[in-house]
Amino acid sequence: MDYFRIYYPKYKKYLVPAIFILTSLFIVFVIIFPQISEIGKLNKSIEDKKKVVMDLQDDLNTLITLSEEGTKSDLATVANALPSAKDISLMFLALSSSASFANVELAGFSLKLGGVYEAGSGSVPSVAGFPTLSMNVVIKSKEPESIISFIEKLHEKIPLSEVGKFEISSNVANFNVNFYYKPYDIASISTQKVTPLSDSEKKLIEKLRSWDM
Amino acid sequence: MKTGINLITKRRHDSKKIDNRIFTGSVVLFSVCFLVGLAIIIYVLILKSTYSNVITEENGVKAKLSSLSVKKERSLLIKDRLMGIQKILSIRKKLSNQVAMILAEIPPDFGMESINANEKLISIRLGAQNLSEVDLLFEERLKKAAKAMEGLIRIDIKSFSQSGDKYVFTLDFHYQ
Repeated sequence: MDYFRIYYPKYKKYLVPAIFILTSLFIVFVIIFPQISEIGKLNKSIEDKKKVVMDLQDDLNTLITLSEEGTKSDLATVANALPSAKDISLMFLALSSSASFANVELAGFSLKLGGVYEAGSGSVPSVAGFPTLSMNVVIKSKEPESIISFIEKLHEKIPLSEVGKFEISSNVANFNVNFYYKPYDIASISTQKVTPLSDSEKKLIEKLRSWDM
Repeated sequence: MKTGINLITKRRHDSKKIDNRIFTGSVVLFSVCFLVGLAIIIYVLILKSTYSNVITEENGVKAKLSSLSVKKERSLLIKDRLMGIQKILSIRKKLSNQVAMILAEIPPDFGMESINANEKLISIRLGAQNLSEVDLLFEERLKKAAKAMEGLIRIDIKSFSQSGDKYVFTLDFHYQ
């Protein structure tokens, strides 16, 4: 108490400046510095959100310009060209119409479907990362050119396929045809941005549509 | 009577000046910190309000998009399929083109016995009655055509024999 009585009158005049200085330090360290870091975070959040809004707005503008019927028809074409599952009826249709075009007899085909159910991620036969359904096809023709024409026509049919190997002898040809398919990866697709179809994509759809006939 | 007597010493006068400066300095420091702090708080509030506006805008666009969700899904699926199709078309090998190019070089009167084809090898077994035509095929036609055959490494005559009234031979076309 004596200590206070001695020093208080002597340093009383510094009390107010000391309070001001301490308050200033409090403002700097408790308000200004944290708020500066908050400003950085907020600016980044605003920029990110603005980008998200711009992307969503772009999606919206693109979707408004797309026609309902056009997208339905385009999806049907591309989904027939690259089905999401093993579609045997489409494959048979491609084989029979190619045979009819090339004027060859479709003598038979056999396939190993497999993969009805398998626990875990089973191995699926694939070509360049795309799963395929392999089919052995037998056709008959007197002209080797007709058989080549059959293969060429099959390449211009959907679903997309690739002739892996073939043997032709005594007017009978045995083919190994791989039909491509690709399951939908909805989780990955839904995060993508909607963009209008480019000219080359439109041309490709038109080409696929002509192959669908 | 002297009226100009200064009872305050010079030392005490200087000390008072310093005290005043300390007081003024502390007030200025506090004022500056207060104003800067206030300005920053106002700026943060403005930013928070801007952020809230952007969120509102985002929700508005999302609401509009939700009414077009089916079309959006369709559009994304089209893009996904097209990417896959483009990739397949770029890697797909057209074995028939290679075979067709070879067959175009075979004279029409040559008999076709068999063709075996895969990615790496196309093997064609032919029969011909005229030996000079066979020679022409080996020495001129195939050599000339080989240059236009993409990916072709070499052509081998795998076998050559006489069978009855014709010559039967097998040509192997090796590809990369």
